Amino acid sequence: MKRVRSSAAGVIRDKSVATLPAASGGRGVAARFAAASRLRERRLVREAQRGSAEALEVLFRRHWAGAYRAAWVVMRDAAAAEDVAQEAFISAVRALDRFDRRRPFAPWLHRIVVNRAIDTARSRALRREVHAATAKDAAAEPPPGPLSDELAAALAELGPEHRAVVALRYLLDYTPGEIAALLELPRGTVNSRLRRALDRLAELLREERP
Amino acid sequence: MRGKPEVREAESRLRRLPDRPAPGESEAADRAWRVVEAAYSQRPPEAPRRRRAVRLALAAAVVAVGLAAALTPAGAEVGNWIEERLSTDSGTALPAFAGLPEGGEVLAVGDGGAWVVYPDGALQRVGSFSEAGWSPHGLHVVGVRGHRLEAATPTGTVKWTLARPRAVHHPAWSPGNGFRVAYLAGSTLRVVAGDGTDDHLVRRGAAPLTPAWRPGGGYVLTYSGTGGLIETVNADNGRRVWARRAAERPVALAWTRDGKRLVSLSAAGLRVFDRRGRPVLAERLPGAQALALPPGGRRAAVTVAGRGGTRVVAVPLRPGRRPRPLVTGLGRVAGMAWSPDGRRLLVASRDTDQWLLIAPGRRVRPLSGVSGELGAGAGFPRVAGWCCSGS
Repeated sequence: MKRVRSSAAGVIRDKSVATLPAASGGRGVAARFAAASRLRERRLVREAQRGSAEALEVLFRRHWAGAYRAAWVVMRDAAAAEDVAQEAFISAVRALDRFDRRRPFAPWLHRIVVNRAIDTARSRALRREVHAATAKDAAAEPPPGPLSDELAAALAELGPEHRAVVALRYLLDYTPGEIAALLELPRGTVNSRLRRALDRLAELLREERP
Repeated sequence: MRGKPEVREAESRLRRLPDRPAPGESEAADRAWRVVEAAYSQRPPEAPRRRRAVRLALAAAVVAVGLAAALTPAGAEVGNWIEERLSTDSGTALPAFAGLPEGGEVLAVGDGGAWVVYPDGALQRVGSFSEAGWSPHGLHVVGVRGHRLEAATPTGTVKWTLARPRAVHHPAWSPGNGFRVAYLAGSTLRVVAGDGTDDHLVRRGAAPLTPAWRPGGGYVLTYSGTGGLIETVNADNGRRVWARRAAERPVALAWTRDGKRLVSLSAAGLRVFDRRGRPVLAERLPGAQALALPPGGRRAAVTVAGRGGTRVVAVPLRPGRRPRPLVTGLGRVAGMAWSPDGRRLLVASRDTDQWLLIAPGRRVRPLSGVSGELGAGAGFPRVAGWCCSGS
């Protein structure tokens, strides 16, 4: 596992630890930090499996921001993101006894979040059963949140599958190979989705220039 | 392309995503934690390690006996017994609900309300409903709470509530765009728009069974009158499309997805009518109780009570084909639904405390111990629908 998440401040990446000056330990510090973090997480999972609500809360607080933000990037709707992230945690809780502690917790959770967010975004696009007033509310422009207006506009033009790949790559810091494994997609598909997202965004940025 | 300055800038903007919170993130965390904590507190306690060890030892013993049986001439019967034990064990070892196939969510109603059951076994409480049904695309759930009819999202956000002086029951959301909901209030048939407005009376003297919307243009539905009349009416203007007196009072009505056939089930059997109400098929099934039509609509699943318990049969909706039993020897059946792809049938078997998944080839997979799944005191979860077979 490559990343550790704090409760509210978002993601503390191992990469940022790896950029420490060589004199203070450099890669060695990063590796030790990551290993310690893995051990802590394994211990938390074990305690949660044994019935410790405190351990579960630490895991929850540690992973909420990533789960919620990923869902938000895919759906661009705070209420829907909350639902999806919450349901993902409930799924994880219900399957906790079957969880293999040797595996990292975050990819397991992120897989649930992203797949569920894609499904929800897809079905929302298809559903037209609400009346005009409700539909208008749902279609209202979401606040930009972590995205600038241009970034939000560019991502909005992509399908949920593309936004999901962007969230996994740039928000949660997975490599294309890890994303391919998480979403059970060919690596080429992941790369092409990433490239398309970047191209679209670059195009918009070019248009903005004088 | 990747080397172009615009692409590099785009990438660098995306890399700043983790540094900014999303709207509502921290408030949502507190709300979600309360729900997650509640779900965690309802988990069954962890099985003691000793029991796992015993289970492993038993499995080893069974394998050893199996080998011995295979090596002896009289081993066939013992082998069958072992096979049966092993298959039963693997079935019951599955956590209830977690064995549901992907491709849709099941709506379950227990004593404490309605829940959405996800394929991985996750649950979402929708509301304190005694009856519930999906909207055609699964965006909403319509539920009954005493004298109230409510529409809520699958995550439990109430969209609208309608109160009636008489008890509300048997709601049904119209297919297609889903802009109407039919329901019974006392013995009156009423229809309300999908946003909770324009509630109006359609007919008096309706029998207590769920009205069946006819797919296709317009808002046309079929209901059963208390006198045994089957009438198809336009829900918006109340005009009769056709009516037919039934020899036996219907217990269930359903239109096929293409809107070409109406299936009416009574305690004597099944009858099929065309779009204009002309009979096209009659199948005797004494003891018939409940009906479920798959999206394809070429056959109906019918529960039939008899001396050997309840059985579920597949009844072809074309003349000249005989019904086939799907599963037999059940006790009381508390709802059944076809999967959205029409390949599997889910049957809630109350007396065995199981949900049975019947797959093609009549393979039956039990999900056992479902009573405990909705929490303590929630009772047996009835199957109220499998999203989104109406889409």
